[in-house]
Amino acid sequence: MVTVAIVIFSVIMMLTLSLIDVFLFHTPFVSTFKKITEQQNNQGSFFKYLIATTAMAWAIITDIRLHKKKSKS
Amino acid sequence: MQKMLLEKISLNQLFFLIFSFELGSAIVIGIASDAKQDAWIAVLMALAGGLILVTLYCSISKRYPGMNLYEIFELISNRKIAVFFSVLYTLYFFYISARVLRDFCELMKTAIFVVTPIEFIALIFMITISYIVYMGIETIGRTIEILSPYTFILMFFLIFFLYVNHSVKLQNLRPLLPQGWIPVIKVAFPEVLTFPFGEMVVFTVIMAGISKFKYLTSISTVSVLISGIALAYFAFLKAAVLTPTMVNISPFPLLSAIREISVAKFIERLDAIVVYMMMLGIFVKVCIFFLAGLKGLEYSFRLPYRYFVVPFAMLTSISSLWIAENFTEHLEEGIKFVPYYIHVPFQIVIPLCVWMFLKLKVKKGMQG
Repeated sequence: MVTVAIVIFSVIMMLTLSLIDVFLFHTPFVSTFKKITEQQNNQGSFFKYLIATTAMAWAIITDIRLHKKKSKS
Repeated sequence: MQKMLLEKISLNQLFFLIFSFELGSAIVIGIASDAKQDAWIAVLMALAGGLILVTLYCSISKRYPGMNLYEIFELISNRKIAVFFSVLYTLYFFYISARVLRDFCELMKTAIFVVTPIEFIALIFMITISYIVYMGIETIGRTIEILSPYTFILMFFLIFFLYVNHSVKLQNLRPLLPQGWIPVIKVAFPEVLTFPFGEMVVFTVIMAGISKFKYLTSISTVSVLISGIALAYFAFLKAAVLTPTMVNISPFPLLSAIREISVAKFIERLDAIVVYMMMLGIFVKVCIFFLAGLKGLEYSFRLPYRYFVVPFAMLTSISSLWIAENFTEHLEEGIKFVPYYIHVPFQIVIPLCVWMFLKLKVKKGMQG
């Protein structure tokens, strides 16, 4: 459930932020979406990958733990 | 559904939470700067509207003590509609917490950590936030209860030093209302009304954990009133010290104003004090918005919110970077888009509808 939640909310958040940019700056949706998702080649990119990986890994581990708890009970 | 922990916060803690929350990022980026030398009047006008909004939020929360906004949605409709609105509010709360986090990161990058990647600042800050949010609202309340008095003392010192330094020049505030009331009213409504006063809507989720509901409205109103007056006074000081044009140009006007202090060439560079005040305010704001978002997930997914803390802390930190390419874009979004299309529906329209539905429900109940 945690993985489902994080995936759904990440996608909705990305779409919403792109739409705000489209609405405000009149830029094409595809280029705005790409601007959000693509990584710049700088030292900050490492932390972006780290943040994204931690979020997904933590969500999956939590779900496995929850599943084990459920099956035990 | 797993058993949820019931956590309570005292009225004292609520008072300090609201005070720090209201100062939060509003003190960092400065509000009503478009009203130039009349910014303080715009803040006071918005404060009047803000007090009405706070009374509205309190009356929603007081109707069913112990229930948060998401549960009230279910009470006036059904679970499906309640989940729909809960998801919307959850997104809103995460979005605003990401915006506030971005304010903090930009402040840190400009004032202290000039060469540190902004991603790293966001990550570190969210790790701290996720820890305190994981510990619960009681821990947040206690932390703020301990740290807030220092803000009061430091605020007093800053104001004192500005006057001792003769930095406050009242001629910078003249002429008063050069273009009449209309430009000031336009800035006050909805820009200043929604940010920071309307953001109190988040407390409809937090207020469920108050120990004494009887004093909820009075404590909230007094706290908003004091923080509103403090904000107006800081708007006044910023314009008086820097001139209204400089306030408009500077990304962090309060920081620039405090940098003017040089008492006997000995007491100088008081930036750290301002950064502390701003950091505490932003810390409270991100904590409250993030916790409210997590409570929405708890309601929608029927799982204790603590399971979601770390992944969503990461999502918030990365969202703060997705929001805008640079600080100018971030501010433009915050002035041109957010107050009108995001704040107004979530802070005024939906709560007003909820309040009306609750009134109707009570009326029907009495007739039945």
